[in-house]
Amino acid sequence: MLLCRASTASACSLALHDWQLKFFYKIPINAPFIPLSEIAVIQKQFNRAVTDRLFWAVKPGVLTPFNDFIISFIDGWVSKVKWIIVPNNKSVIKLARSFSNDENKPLIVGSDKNYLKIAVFLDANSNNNCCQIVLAQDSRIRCIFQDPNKPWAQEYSMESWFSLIFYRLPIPGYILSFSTYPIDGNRVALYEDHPLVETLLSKKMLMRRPDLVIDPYSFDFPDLPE
Amino acid sequence: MKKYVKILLLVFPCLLPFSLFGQPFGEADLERLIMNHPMMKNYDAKTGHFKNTPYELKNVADLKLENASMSSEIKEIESKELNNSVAAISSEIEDEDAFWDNVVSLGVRKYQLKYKIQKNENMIISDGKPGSEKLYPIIDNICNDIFVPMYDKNKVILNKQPRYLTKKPELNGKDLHAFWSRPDEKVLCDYLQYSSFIGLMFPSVDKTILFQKTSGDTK
Repeated sequence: MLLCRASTASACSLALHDWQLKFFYKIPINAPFIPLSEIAVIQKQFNRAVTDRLFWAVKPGVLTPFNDFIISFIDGWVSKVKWIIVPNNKSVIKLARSFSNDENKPLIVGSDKNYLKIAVFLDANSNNNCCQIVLAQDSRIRCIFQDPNKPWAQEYSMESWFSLIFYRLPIPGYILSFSTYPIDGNRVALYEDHPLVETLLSKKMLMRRPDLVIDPYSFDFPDLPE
Repeated sequence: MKKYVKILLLVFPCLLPFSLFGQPFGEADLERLIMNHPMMKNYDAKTGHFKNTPYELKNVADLKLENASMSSEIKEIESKELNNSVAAISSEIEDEDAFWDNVVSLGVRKYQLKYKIQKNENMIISDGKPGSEKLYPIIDNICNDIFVPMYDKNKVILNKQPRYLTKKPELNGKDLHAFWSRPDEKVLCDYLQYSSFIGLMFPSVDKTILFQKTSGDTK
């Protein structure tokens, strides 16, 4: 799925949306559905493979049994190493110390304080016909790597998300874009229907973006509530 | 019934021009309002920037010095992070929460410093001039303070004419005032040639003048 990335030029960047939050729900979850944030922070710190084992300390979630399968679709060296899911009943520091005598030190990643945020936005510029559904995952991520030369311990509060933008119905033929964040630290459009966007713009069913308008939320959505 | 309609149709066109010309109007002296705005105390006319605001013109040497200092602080933070990481792995930590709090605060500080360094680098490239996006909020504030109290949907607000310079114009040695005392053709030609400067002769002309169209006017 992620290998089939759409062009980086965003179809929805042609339209000027005025996203109004219509529905929001936040629920605690055991584990992120897809460890996008975890992969992003590790790949930012290490641009090449530093180990062949990664211990992920997390409460097993709905999709954790399929973790290897899911992350195999993601680019980068982190998705190629073996992910070993361990329960997070002890701290990542203690977990890291248990490998002190190993010659091949693993990367230790802990994810907790996991939340799933579900948000629905309607575009006031299209008479609420254009809709965006956002699934965002919040996590506190703690990482430890016992590099003999440069050990690393860091904590991040990260958010990753998936966004589906469609016109009236979330069915094929009405979907404008499907995107995710972060992949290599960026938002990436996995699917975009340029002809559909152009058609809606020409029929004035979407508002065309003036060249001079710079809107920080133009490609994504307003900040989600805490 | 038809009679009343006819009367109404006859009266309505007569009332219409009066209602249009009856639109109330007010005057505003935008130049004076802007100059009296508190933010204008910070305005530096020489550089076109606002002091003590994000749109302040910075000294490039100071920016480079600041960046060197911040880079040095980042190295110190990275050294502390390394020591923390070594401590976390090699020895027992009594208070793990305090350890992670420290990790986070160091990380946040490092991020802030890197962000500031990048901002300074951008300003160094543009000779210390901040981006125009820093100017827009200042202009927005000034405009809001001036225009919002003045706004009246039922009134047309007319700006006063710009006040002209009080210095008597000397245009290529020609004294246009001479036209008033010596109405000969040559002076008149000079007067017309420099007609765009005529306003300079009338320093007090800053009143809005409205001309009402008379019934005889065709243009």
